[in-house]
Amino acid sequence: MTAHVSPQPESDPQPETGALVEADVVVVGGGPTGLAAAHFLAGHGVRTVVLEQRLTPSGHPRATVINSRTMELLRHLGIDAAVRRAGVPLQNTARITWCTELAGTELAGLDIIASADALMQRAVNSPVLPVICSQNRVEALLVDRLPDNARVIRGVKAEELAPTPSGVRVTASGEGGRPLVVEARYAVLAEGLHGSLRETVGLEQTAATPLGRLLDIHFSADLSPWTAGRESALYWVLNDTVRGVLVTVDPVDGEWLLEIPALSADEEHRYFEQEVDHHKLIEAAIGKPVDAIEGLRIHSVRNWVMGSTGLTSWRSADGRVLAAGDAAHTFPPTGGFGMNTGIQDAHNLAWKLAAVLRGNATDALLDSYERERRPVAEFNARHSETNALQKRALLQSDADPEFARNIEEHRPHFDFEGQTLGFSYEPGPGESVVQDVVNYRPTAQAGHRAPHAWLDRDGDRISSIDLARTGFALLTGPGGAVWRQVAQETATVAGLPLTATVIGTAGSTAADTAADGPQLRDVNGAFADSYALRGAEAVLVRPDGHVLARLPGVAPRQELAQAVDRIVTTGLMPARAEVLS
Amino acid sequence: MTVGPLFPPERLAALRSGDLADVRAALAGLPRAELAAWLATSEGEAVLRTVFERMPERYTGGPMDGQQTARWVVEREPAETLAYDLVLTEDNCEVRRTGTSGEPTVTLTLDAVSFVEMASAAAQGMDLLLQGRLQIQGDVHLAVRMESLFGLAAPGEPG
Ligand SMILES: Cc1cc2nc3c(=O)[nH]c(=O)nc-3n(C[C@H](O)[C@H](O)[C@H](O)COP(=O)(O)OP(=O)(O)OC[C@H]3O[C@@H](n4cnc5c(N)ncnc54)[C@H](O)[C@@H]3O)c2cc1C
Repeated sequence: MTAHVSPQPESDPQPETGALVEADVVVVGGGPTGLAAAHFLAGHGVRTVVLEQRLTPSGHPRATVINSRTMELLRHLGIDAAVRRAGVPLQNTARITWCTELAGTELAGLDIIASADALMQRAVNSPVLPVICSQNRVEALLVDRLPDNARVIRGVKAEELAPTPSGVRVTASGEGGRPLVVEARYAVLAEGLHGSLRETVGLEQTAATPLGRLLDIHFSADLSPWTAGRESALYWVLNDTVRGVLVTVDPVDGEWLLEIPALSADEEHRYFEQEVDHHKLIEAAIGKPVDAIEGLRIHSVRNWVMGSTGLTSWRSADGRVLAAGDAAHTFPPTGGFGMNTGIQDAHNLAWKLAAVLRGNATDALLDSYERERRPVAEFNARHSETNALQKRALLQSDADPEFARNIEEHRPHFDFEGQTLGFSYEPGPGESVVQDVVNYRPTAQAGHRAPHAWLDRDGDRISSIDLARTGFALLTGPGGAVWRQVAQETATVAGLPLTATVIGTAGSTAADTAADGPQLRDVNGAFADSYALRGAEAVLVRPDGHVLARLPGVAPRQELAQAVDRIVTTGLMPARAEVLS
Repeated sequence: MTVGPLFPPERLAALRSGDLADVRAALAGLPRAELAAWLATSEGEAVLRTVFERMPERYTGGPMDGQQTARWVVEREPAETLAYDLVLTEDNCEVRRTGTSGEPTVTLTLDAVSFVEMASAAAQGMDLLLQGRLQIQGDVHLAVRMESLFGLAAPGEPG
């Protein structure tokens, strides 16, 4: 068998096994984290090779929630619309339902977008909405749209990772073929929970006590007779045979996941240690006999341990190997953070690798990756664990009229815009990385994601979050024209492009736009409100969309030089550097 | 009367045609500001009114909790705003002057260019909403069904 390379133009020679492939970065693992890493790295001009042992992506849906921050990143890759089409728009699944059986009594419901106001509020926070789209579909789209300077080599298993004078050498084997060798400056291990290379470079796993095991049944069926009029993302079912959740994967084509946690030793035995009739479990969840469920077909059954794992360190001692995604952290699925956190790890890491590879930042910048991402992953782990325990208690409670009374307490499990958009890097002492799980409050303070605001250019709308997608961006108000001059003198920061954009006030018109005046206009005052810039002040945004520093604009050149110097030599956020040094 | 840009006759005919593909073709490449200025003229107003009058032809209907009113408010500064009530039942859509059918179930407020884009399926309501061009008030569930009720889902989008 030969290795499969995709996507490559027909005429491009495929590397044969036994060949030596050179790259800037080698990524081990072509799951969502590895594929996203390849996109983000390639976007910064980094030649990337992904090694994936599976010949074809798994058809099992696994994760289904794409949160708003991940959708923003997919928007920058130009695949948000395709993901939305491949998935279920939130407005069709903006509800969570609890019932005895799908066809039985409804016990409670939670509306995530209950009102027009709630939807309008979401639209203020981000240019995208979260989407329910299964992991296998997202992976397929990521593979399909991979740029030319990134390639995925399928059907090869990375067996060994060894240091070289200038980086790493990964030896991989294809079935029956000679080994494929990839030499690169850095390796990203996106090998998932079960990958074996981390251990070999001294990255040791840690694991909290598992919260139980989950049975996962992927099936097709027309369930519309029982979902019509109350379409939900999740239907939790509580009856004597099944206590679990029916996850909507594709309601139009009728694709579902039934996830049943084993809540006791007895259930562990019932679900995993003896022959279980999966059709019977589906029957019990729906509350109808199999022959009354149209088109019922089971595709795959998996089980997995629900719990959090981590690594003692995310970076090898020699600095050449970094872990990301499930390889660095796993959580229970309650909250849907697994895939999202992995993709966002890759986004944080990509520009740093690009800067270091170009020789414009010291290696210390890469230490900021774990320093920034680990606390976010740990917060997501704790939150997912809390959710899991609460759901377990709820699943064990009586399915009686009392059930609905405290349902509102479960909102943070399903409604977490404050967590997805509001997390910050290197928060001040005593501050949490997330201030409020449910409610997002835009702020352009250092460490936070630079908030979204619509800006107008001759009738076209551009989001403020689009200004830093390929490099560093200075965002300033009408009083900050000087920053354009500064950016012209300093074309790059850490080897990545720097731009400066002057944003006019909401009331200004095209006539005010002199040659050196505002290039964009604040559409509805949201930019002024959330960035709260005074006079010549500017916000310096990193290529991953997080605010690096607020620069007062009193001595602009010096302020920029200082901020840049800190990040390229220590990787520290300037605002926090004072506190930490 | 507001003076707007002059459009060639083919473009005018396409905008008036009511044929979604023709309208979309006429919109393609037209600067937003120019179309906005034209929609604020009396000629533009006539086209907007025609779009409203022809909406019942496109109505495909669907399950409906009794009679519902969707109010459309189309802003076309500096000219006056146009507003209509669409009174909807499971299988019927009637266009009425506002204020003759009681309080609306949902109100959709948007600029004239966005309205033409949405009515011709050149843009999706959700995208316009996310861009801050469309505001909705009232029943969110009816609001997000608008396109499917009028057969306006973009190619490839769920209806
Ligand atoms: C059954 C199941 C259900 C799940 N359900 C949910 C859910 O509902 N919600 C949720 O948020 N999360 C869920 N998860 C977790 C979610 O799938 C993960 O968080 C996500 O896949 C992480 O992506 P990743 O790219 O980091 O790792 P993975 O998706 O695990 O990708 C790792 C890849 O590396 C490859 N690989 C490993 N070692 C090598 C090697 N040596 N050489 C070459 N290739 C290698 C593997 O083949 C794999 O493709 C589920 C997981 C499972 C298993």
